[in-house]
Order: sequence, then C-alpha cells, then structure tokens
Amino acid sequence: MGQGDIIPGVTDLSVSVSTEDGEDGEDGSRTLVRLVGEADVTTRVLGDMLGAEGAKKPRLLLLDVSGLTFIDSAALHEIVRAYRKLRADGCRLALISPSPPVARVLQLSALDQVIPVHASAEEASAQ
Amino acid sequence: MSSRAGSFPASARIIAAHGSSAAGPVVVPWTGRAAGGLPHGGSWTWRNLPGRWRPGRFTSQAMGRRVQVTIAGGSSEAGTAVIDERFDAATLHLLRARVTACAAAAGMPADLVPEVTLAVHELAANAVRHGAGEGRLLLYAAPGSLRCLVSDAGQDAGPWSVRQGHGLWIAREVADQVTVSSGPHGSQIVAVFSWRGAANREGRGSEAT
Repeated sequence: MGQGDIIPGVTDLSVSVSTEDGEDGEDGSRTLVRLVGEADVTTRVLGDMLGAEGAKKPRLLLLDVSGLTFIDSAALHEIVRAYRKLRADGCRLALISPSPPVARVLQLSALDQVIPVHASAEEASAQ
Repeated sequence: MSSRAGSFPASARIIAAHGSSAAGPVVVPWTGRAAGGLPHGGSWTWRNLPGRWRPGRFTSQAMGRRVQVTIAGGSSEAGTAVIDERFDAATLHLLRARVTACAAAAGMPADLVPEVTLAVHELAANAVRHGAGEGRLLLYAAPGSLRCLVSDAGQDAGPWSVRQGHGLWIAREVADQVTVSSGPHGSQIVAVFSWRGAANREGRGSEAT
C-alpha cells in the first residue's frame, strides 16, 4: 500500500463479500463483492478489501457497484489496480450493474474501455 | 483552525461589470481582502450576465441528507459566493453534499449536478492529497454558471504538485474552463461550469452536451 496514498476519512461504504467454490473439477472460485454507499480517496476499506480478495486469486472477482452513490477517481484507481493485478495472475475482474454516477465516472475517465462491465453476475460469469 | 492567509480573499467585491450575457463571456474586475489582511485583486470571466441572485438561507436535500445552505453576501451582477469553506479528508463528503445542494439551487440542470459535484470533489481531493492536507473552496453562482476556486489552505505547504491524474482530467472534461496557478503560498485552481438555457433546460437530453 502506497504510503500516504489513502487518507483516513469518514465516508460511508459498506462492503459484503461472498465466495463460491469452483465448479466440479474447475480450479479457482468466484467472488462477488457488493459495494454500497460512497467510495472516495478517504475510503481505506476498498483498497484493503481488493488487496485481500485479489491475493486469494479467485478465477472471477465481481464488483457489484449498483449500490454506489458516488465514486471518485482515487477509488476507481484502486479498482483498476486490482484489475491489473488479477489479470497478471490470469484472473478476471468485472463490474456489475453500475449505478448512473458510477457509469458516468467510468465514461469520463474512459475506464469503461478497460474494465469489463456487465449487467448481471450471471452475464459476467457466462463470458 | 489557525488563521492562515489564504491565497484568495475571504470576501470579494465586484467593482465593475461590462457587457451583457448576450455578448458571451464577460470579464469582471474585483477586489477583496484575504484572511491575513492583504488586499487582493484580479478579474474573473463570467458568462450569461446580468442576472439576479438573492442572498439568504434555505434547506435542501442532498445525497440523502438535509443540508442547510447559506447564500452569503449581497447579490451582484457577476455572481454571489454560495460556499466559502475549508475542508480536509474528514469533511470532503460534506463538501460534496453542499456543492450538490448549491448547484441545484443555482438552477443547474439536474443531469449536470452529479458530474459537477464530482469535478469539484476531484479538485478538493487533489488539495487534500497533494497539498497541505486541507484546502479551501469558494463557489460563486451566477445565472447559467458556477465558478469554483480551490486553493491549498496552508501557506507553509508550498506550491502544489498538481498531478495530471484522472482527477484533474475529469475536472477538465466536465468544466468549460480550468485554470491552474501556483504562487509562493500554494496553488489555486479555478474551474467554470456553465449551462445554457436554464429556463428551458427540460429539453436537454443526456446526450445533448
């Protein structure tokens, strides 16, 4: 974690993580993370969670961002960092059902061209 | 909070306004006084002059919170200071709520408010991350436009290392104009957000930018 990169703050973000084991004979697993609230430069829990879940190298890490009411470029950067790390490990990360504010930031930053975005977890898993 | 001199004044008085909104942007000279007592002066470029903006207080709903908004100072043809606030990491989310409330109150089309809030947040977050850990936001409202000034609050912070990250890039995408200036007491970013036809904004589709 970069020193001084993330500043403690009071933004409300709740994170729930659920993991499914891989299907018969398949290695790896599917992790679904649901983010609800606001994620910004002060939201330490986001980078911590992504680092911890990414280290487990799930076959597919899905971030359900439908409940995010705000995201800034710093929080988005944490997601991009996790995406790159997972890809280097041969894993995938995808965003599920972005709320309008999230979709707008993805569009403004052109990161929707980089990170896969799907309407549902089922759609992402089918890829 | 210590009484550090900001790099722009605590209050500014518009001393003259030339031209009219129909002719496009208008350059308005101003004077003011900084917290440390030093007189300041300069000029701002405004669009859509003249107009009416009444000072007063009202409450608004922003991001699920009830927000008290104070429109400070008197109205002028060039706009009114609607926010003059210091911020740090702990208050960035409150600042966003205030910007959202003030932008809506200023008549900004609803579909523009979230991205303007985001852009102002990115400038403020830049001051928190790369400046002294705190900063100051001044937001001026005029008919058809908002003008935002973000400065580093600490004179001991030195000039910002303004980073060309996604934050500033997003602000440049959203704003009509972004100006970055550095001085011995830190740096200041000015961003102007304007919209046309506030009276018939219902016709503005999300694609029609």
